[in-house]
Amino acid sequence: MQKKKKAVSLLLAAVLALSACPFGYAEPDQKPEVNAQSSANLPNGNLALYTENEKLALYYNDKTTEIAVQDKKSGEMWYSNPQNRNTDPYAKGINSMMLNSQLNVKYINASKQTSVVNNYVGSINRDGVTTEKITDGIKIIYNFPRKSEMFTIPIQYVLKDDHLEASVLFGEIKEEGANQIIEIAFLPCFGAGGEQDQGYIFVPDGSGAIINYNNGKQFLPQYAEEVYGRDPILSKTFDNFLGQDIRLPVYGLKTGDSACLGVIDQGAALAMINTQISGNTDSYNRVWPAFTYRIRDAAMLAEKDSSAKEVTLFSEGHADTERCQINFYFLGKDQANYSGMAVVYRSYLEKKYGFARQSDGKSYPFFATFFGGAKKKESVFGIPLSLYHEMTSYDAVAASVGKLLELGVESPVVAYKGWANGGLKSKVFDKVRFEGNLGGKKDFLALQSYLKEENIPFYPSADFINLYQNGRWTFSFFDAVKTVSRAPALQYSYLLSTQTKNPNLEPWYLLKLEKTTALVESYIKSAEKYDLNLLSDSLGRIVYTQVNKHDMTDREDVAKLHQQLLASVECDLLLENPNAYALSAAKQIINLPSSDSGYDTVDYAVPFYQMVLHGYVDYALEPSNTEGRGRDYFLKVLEYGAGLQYWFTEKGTDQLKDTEFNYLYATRFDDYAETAAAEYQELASVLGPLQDKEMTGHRWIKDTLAETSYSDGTRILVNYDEVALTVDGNTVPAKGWYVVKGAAENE
Amino acid sequence: MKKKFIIACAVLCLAVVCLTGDVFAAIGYKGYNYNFRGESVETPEGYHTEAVLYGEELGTTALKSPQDLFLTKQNELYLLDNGNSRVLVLDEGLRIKKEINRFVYNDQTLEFKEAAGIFVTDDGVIYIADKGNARILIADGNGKVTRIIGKPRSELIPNDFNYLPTKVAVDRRGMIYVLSENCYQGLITFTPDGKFNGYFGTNRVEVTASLILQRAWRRFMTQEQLDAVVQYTPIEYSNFSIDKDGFVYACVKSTKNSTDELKKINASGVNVLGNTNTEAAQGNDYGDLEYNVYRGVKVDTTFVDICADDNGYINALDFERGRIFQYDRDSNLLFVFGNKSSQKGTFTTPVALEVMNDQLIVLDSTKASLTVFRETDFGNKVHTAVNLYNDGKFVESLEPWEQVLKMCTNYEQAYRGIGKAQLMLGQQKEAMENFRLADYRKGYSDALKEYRGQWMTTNFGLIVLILAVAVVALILLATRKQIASAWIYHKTGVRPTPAPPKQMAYPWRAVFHPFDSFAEMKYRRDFSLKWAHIILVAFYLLSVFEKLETGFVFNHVDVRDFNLFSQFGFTLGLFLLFVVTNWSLCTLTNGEGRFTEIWCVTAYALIPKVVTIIPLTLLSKVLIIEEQEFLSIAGALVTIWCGIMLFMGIKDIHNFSFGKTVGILVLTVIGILAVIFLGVLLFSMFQQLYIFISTIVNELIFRM
Repeated sequence: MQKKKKAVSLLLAAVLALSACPFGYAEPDQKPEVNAQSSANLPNGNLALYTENEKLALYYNDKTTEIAVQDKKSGEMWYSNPQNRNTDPYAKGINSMMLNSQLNVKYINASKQTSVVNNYVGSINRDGVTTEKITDGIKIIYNFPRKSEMFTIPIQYVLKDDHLEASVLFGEIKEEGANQIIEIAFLPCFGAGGEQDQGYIFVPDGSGAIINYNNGKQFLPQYAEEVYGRDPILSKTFDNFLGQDIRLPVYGLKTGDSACLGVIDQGAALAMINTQISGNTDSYNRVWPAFTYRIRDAAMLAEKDSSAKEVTLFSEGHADTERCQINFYFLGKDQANYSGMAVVYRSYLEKKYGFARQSDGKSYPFFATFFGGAKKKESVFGIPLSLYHEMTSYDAVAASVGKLLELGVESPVVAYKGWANGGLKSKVFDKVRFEGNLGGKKDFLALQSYLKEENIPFYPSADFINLYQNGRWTFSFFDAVKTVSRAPALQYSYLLSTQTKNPNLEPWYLLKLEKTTALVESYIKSAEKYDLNLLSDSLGRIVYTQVNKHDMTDREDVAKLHQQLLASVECDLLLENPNAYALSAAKQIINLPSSDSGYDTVDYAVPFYQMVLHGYVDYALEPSNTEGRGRDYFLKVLEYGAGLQYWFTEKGTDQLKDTEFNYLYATRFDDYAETAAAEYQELASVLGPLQDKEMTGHRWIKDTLAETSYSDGTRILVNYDEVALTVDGNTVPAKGWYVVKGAAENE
Repeated sequence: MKKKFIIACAVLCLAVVCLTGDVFAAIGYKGYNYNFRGESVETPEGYHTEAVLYGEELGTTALKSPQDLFLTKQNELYLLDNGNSRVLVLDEGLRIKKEINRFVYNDQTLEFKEAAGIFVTDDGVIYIADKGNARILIADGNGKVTRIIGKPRSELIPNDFNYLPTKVAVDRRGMIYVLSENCYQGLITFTPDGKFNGYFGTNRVEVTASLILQRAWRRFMTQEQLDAVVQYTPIEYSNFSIDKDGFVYACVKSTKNSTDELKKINASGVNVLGNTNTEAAQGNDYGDLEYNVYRGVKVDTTFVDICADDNGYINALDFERGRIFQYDRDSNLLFVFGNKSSQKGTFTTPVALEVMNDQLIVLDSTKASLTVFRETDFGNKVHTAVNLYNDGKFVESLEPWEQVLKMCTNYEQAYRGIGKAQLMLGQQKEAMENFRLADYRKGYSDALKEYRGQWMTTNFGLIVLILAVAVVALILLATRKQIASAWIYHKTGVRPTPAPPKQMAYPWRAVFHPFDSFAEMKYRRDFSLKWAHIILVAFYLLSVFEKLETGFVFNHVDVRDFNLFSQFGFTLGLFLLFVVTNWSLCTLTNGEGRFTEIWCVTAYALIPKVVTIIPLTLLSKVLIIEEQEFLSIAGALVTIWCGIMLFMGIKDIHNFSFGKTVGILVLTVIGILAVIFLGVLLFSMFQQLYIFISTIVNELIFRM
């Protein structure tokens, strides 16, 4: 116990030391002239115009290698490093050096000890910089000449029509000697907000989250999370984080009347988004990405023993992605907020991935997710057997949908899990295998044709990443993804109480890319015969590093291949809480986060993800019936403009209570059909007409009163309070809502 | 009352700070409860995080290492802000009402040093346990310190006692209770005028295996050795509070056995808290039932605060994992929530907990914040049901329990509640199923009794008929040979000679004539291996049947834990061991029996067991707890019967005398034990070797 505390405090100290990095900041007081051609008006005389286009101008300082971008329309300058950093009252020693840097490199030496160096101390101060003019931009090569470092990292800045592309050229990194680069933090101070500034940091935590500048929470652990969640091949002794993952690789800063959005265009799956509030190591509010070059796995050996020790392992190979690139977009006064950021990000998705409108926008959807069956241990005349436990048969799904239609649910969407192949957590999906226990092929086809007749989208699920049971020419020994130590990467269930691995449940594996590809191809071929759509359980959400013998296929490459796989699927796709790269493949989406992770340093959650999607793709939040929050959750669905999702089983779930499937604890169709239908009607009356409109704004009027606005000017006020509240003469009932119809847009 | 509060709260909310609503979901933690197997299972959250309040939100400057909370009857919340040497008084909306910045004693400003406890009397007198200064401060509402109580003086207290008062409370008589670190005698009590009065609620010494071992060794130790051994001292309290009825609620620091961590002590110092459901998995183990071992140390719940609210719910705060455990007054676990993390609703250093109206407030000293939890929809339903149930209004509690179950089929108490209601409403069959789901055997047995009685009454005619048919059939069966021969005689006029016994007849005859059959068998050398094998296979299969199909009332085997292989070991493995050991010993002692003979005789001796398994197992399904004796006696008779057969068999095939047979059987048992002992020894040696090698392999992999 004492030991543990000590370990924790050491760890904390280490984290603090490591996170004490560089930063930047936008200078609001000294606004340069709109068409500044010379450098005379700039706070630092050496920052000179380097290149420009119609909308943007790039300035470069050849002494400090800092840059600045000017948004010509607003005249706002965005600096890579804060301009008044010399007067920073907090930053001392290495922290003040970091304010001068653009790169912060974590590396290990021959004896695997970790050190950190920034490019100001390691390269600029040692004459290691060479520059090269490239089309519309500049390439800067940082050579770290010191014996203890000895590596070369090139970066480049290129001005594109409406944005700046800043890249770390991973493919051109050179390491000399025994040092190995682990991680590179890039532009740690870009656009940093100072202590006098009004504004906020936007981070894509869950649905999206806002950290106000100078919010006084600098002494609490700062927000830092991996994009697309933690790499599942890394070992995990405790599962003590219950929160949301980053699904969209974006972050933003709003300072005064202008804002800047950073979109991680390449290398997103390698990135971690970090933040720091003023007063921590310096006086700036900063957000920046750090890219993983080599994987680091900290494994506990003999964790139960008093001789337990933590071993840190580094992958032999390094990331093979060509470059990690951030696109910076600059938002003027009319767009300088997170809803503006969502608009910019959506247009980015359109250009990059061909993201397009999928929703017909005509009706408000109801997502009914059914669960077919699973294996359960039972005693039959005294013989213990693992038997199929039926939850919802094919006929029962048809009957339930019929009941929903009868109850006035106009546009149901049916998803179906555990419908084939032996139920939940079964063998791999190599082809369509109807479940005899649920009624077999005949009943299934009857269900399908019934749903087609009623024009109801139908998505039977399939999992192409998790490997729960060997068989069907798939074996964990050959086909499982490996950890850095080359052992199979085991996936565990964790106990809710101790948050340690559950000893009673078997661990499972993740399938290698090649196997996933083969399975998708063979399954889709078989599914096409029956004209089936697909609910992809894990593909599009889970992304890992594939460690090979001497090199690795990094997460970014795996993500790209997953994206191509999903794009190659011709049937309609329903995705669960997908990552950005999978978005354009989705016809509809469920299980979007209804909040952020609620970090101490974060001020409030915002529906950023929802803003990107609304009017384009129909989406639902997590199911309403397992939330236990009743009306409050209903209001959340309304506030976030989402479709309603319910989980259903025909049979009661009391027989599942002592099995691993006891996460299904409130799903009996007859218990919830009427509540669901009533909620649907209420929501449809409000959100139905808005299905094809974009969500243009969201704000908290009070702690308990939220307002969401749409592109036709409609505003929806949602009151979480136990008493009615009145705003601008509109009374919002207790635990209720009020619609202000389409007057002029209100922001 | 509640409505009134809502209105009052609404007014307050509009005026000052808004605490209602759903600003944060419960995201930093997942709600869970324990099932009858003692496994954590997911449930919806009973409480959700409503607000996290730092100094600024309270309406003052930042808190600095705050340590304790105290709620007065007027719903004023006192907050001991140790690092700033001040006390904050908060109103119902958790906004600052009064700030006591300075504590002055004889014109001298006092600074707190690690002050850890605060108590306020009904008339506003503040007691502060100033730990670092080893004193209790007694002050009025303006910070004027009227009295200081220092280290207690008494012959009972050793001079070198390091007095570190952490918590303080005062009862209705003005008696001052103080909890001091390193004080194993319980709470220190002072008279109202500050004189040492005695100890209260002394804890017992925890009985662990090492303590028992030590007690045994002590008899053989010299005085010096005795002085050197570890002193086993009673468990220390970590916090306590006094409720309006004068009960002292206390929690103890984590215990090795992890039982009785929470206590409700009456005026005579006796703990009256305990689970009335004696079958509950939890028993008197409070906090997490599951634990993990980390770096050789058992990580278990460590309670630091306890607070009983007006409904009698006991809320306890766990420092180790940052959780709040809520129990009803019968110690049934209702909810677990909270976590250790850097998210809202989770903690770094949780130190104190108070319940104000339906809000639960937790103080975190590192985060320097108050976290406010509020009952969710689900929480409300459970509370409604529990209140009715605990008042004995089972039928009224049916509907709320059904609501609870609709929201969470993992919530086991609901099955028990519904079962009790159904039993009262005469729905025994449904009640039985619900009691089975709740793993509540007492209830199941009661329901079965009524169900059985009712079934008997309605089917009386049928029962009589079946009985009559059975009697006639038995008589016919018993006299079938006489009838057959009479029939043949009647037909042919010749009395048939009895047929020579068939092979099966021997083992079967041995059952009823154990004293002569075996000798006869030996004489005729007529042992059937075939029948022995059939008996053995039947024995194994039926033993599995017995384990899994015995009636719920008497069956404690869970199909998921059941292992066909270990059952094989317990039945046929043991059989083999007996035969081999007996054969080895008898060859040494000139026994005449051959291996196959021992094999057959031992197998035959199992016949009574084999033939009675099915009827007894079926019978167990209709018997109730009170009739357990019947099953026990039947089981004992069968065992004795088997024993007699085995004894006679062994005696006859080896041609031993009575005494020698007894001796050889005793030796056989000793031999079996020796073999098992050696087996276990070997097994654990191999296990050690395996662990050793796998550690090295692991290490090599990680190093390469």
